[in-house]
Amino acid sequence: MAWVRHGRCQPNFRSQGRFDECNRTARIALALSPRDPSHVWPGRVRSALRRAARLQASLMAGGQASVDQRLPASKPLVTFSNIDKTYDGETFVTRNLNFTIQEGEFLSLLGPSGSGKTTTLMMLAGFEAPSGGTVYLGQSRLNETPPHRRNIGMVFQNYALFPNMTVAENIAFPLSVRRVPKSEQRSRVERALGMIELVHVAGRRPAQLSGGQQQRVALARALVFEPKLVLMDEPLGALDKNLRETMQYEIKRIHERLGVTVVYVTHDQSEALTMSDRVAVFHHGRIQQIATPKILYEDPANAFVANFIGENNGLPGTVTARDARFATLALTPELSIRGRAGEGVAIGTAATLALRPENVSLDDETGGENNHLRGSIDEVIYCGDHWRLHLTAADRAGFVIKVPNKTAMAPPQPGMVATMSWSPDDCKIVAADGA
Amino acid sequence: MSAREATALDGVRSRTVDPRAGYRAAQRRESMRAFLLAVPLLIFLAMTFIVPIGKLLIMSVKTDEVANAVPKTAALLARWPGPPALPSRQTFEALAADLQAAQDGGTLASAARRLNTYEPGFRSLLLKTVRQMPIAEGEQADEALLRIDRRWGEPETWRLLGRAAHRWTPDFLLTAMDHRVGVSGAIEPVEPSQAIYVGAFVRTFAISASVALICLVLGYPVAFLLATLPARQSNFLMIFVIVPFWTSLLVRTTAWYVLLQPNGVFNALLIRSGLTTAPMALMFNRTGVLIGMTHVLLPFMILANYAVMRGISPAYQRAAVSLGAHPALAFLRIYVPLTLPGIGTGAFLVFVLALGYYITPALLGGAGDEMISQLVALQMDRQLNWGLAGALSVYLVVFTLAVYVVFNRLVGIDRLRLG
Repeated sequence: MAWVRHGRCQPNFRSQGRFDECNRTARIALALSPRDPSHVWPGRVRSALRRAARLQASLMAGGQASVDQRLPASKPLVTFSNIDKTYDGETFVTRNLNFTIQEGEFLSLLGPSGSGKTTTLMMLAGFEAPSGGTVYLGQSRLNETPPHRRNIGMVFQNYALFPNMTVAENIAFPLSVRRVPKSEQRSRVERALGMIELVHVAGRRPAQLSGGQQQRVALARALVFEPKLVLMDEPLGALDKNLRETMQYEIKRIHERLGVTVVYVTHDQSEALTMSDRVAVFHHGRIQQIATPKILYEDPANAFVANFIGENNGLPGTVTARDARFATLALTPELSIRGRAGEGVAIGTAATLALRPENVSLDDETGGENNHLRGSIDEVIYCGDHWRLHLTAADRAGFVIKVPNKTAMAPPQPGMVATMSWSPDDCKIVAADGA
Repeated sequence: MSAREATALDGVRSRTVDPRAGYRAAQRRESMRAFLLAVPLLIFLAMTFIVPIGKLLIMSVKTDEVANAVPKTAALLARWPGPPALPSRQTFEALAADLQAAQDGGTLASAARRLNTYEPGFRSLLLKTVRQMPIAEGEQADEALLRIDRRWGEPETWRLLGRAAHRWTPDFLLTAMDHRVGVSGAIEPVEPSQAIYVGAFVRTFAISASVALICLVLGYPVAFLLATLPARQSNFLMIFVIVPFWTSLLVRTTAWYVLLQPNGVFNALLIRSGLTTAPMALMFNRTGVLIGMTHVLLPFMILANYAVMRGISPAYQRAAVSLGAHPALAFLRIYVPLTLPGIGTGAFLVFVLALGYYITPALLGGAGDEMISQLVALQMDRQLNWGLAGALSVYLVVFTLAVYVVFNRLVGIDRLRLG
């Protein structure tokens, strides 16, 4: 109990509130302690000291853990294990979710509305209880912890800044409910305002701020108590396009600077791709694929992911051959495409082509292994750096390709018949439906 | 610049159209349109609200009965220096003549009633005097009047007649505050046995404030429930809040009359359940008044709070909890401050409506629960002292406005948007 004698704890803890509590207890103990070392402290003080010692121990453990945090993908922070969520016992909002969130990563939950991504976030925040399965924070079960004890920061879609408080009071709120001393609150609010470059609006009400400013204040409020995990529920949904891009950059910058773990819900795929370390694609309450943006885009697990992320030419067909790496997809009896084989693609099953418009070239290279497809041009759109062509190919309209624009090139004309080609490595044959 | 150049420049200026003038014209058209749309309502309000209330308020300081009944006497008394001397003989003559004329003109009765409010017995003095008119030939007016009643020989009688003969008077306003102008001409409190109005005002405010507080305690949780339930259930429950509005106030009050009687339904239940052995006094006392008024006014409190609460996003509560506040703390620090306009409006609405309550305290209250509007009604239709009724109303209006200003400063009632 030597540390109590110093009158303060060692200040290397992440949790300021617990540090302060510990410090307060220590001060009380010191004030009460008589000079005589053989004196027996009354029961109340003894229990306060025991409590302080326990806190000290747990804080030390917490300090150890925080060292590992910067190591990339080192340690799962949150684990979802067989999570089901249903309101009526019949239809499932989420079904058998299994995934982990690594410490320090930026994970996006991406999906159309009603796909279960927000419900997943709410189960993590504690506002919804899973119907089955377990959520772990570190090693400990999180299911029964009420939301206010989870120490998870959250940014809401419409900011949810308290209109009856100033900006500074809003940011100080999580500190004041944690009984951080007033002077400490002030300095930390100031630092947070500095981080979002809004020191000059500290005294204003949220209603007097622009949307982007409100968003940044909400961000500061969710970060000021230094949570390990911050949840963001479509935080940029209400902003216009330019501001959204600025804020994407800002959120990314703050994430990198603080090393905090972020779980970010969005239905905007470009937002998810540009900001995230990993993206979990949700559909019908299941995770279709959880991977880095590059893998999601270039190596989609199924037709849903291929169509949802970016543009895709999803021609359907039947698998007629497959080996270890490649599969052959018959679009029509005469027309087959060869591409990388996705998981679950077997001979005789229905499958879908996953082919990005920019991977197709217009020149008639009749060489080697390449796939060839003839189509008639329906529409030509000039996009500056490229031409965008809509074609009818394999008896289907809506085949899209992007042709790089070279100044000397003869512009394609509607009505022309074009021959397209691409390498089997540039396309993938994926299972028809990722149910 | 030569004079001619200057004139030419003026000409150019006057030809260019001032854009501000166009804007002002558009503004005028807009306000004219708004005014015309509101004209029918304004006329209705003026006829049924502003004019009658204004007249009643004016009555609190203006009284014509005595001045019209005895005009010549009033003119002479205005020049009389006052006690201890008696007025001049002409004044006695004028009074004799005025009284006779008033008797014939039919203005005597109201003047006598008015004078009786200053001094009980004044009415009979006037009627007795006028019965002995006209004065016999050769008898002096002062001697005759003194013969008819010795009170005409007291300067105090003439002083009161002189005060009553003023067309503009502070007397009603003073009476309503239990004060009067004494013999010496100074303002003094009336005898404690006659001081009833200040006590009645205090009682009225105490009852109204209690009712507002009880309504808040009972209504706030219900409003919260209605605002947070799913729409279907909330709409269903809302019917129970609104149904009382469809029932007459008198019916509801008499229903309480039946329920709260010593051998009424409520007491029978209490005794049968063994909670009490003897009937509890639930009416003809403050308890009855508070129960009845709370029941009648509760919907206003619920609706005012509901209107505000429905506009509060549940995200605030969630945000506060996610930031580490216990749900109860989040409710107190975030939700309750956001509902302050509703609390303020509801409390103010209930308080002001309660100030004017009349039937409920009359039926359910006892002797010590008389509210100011009962006294106003008493002065209006029993005592026919409209001046005093007006004066009591003036204070009620002034106090209500003062309460509004305070409430508005505290919680911002004018920020409330209903619906």
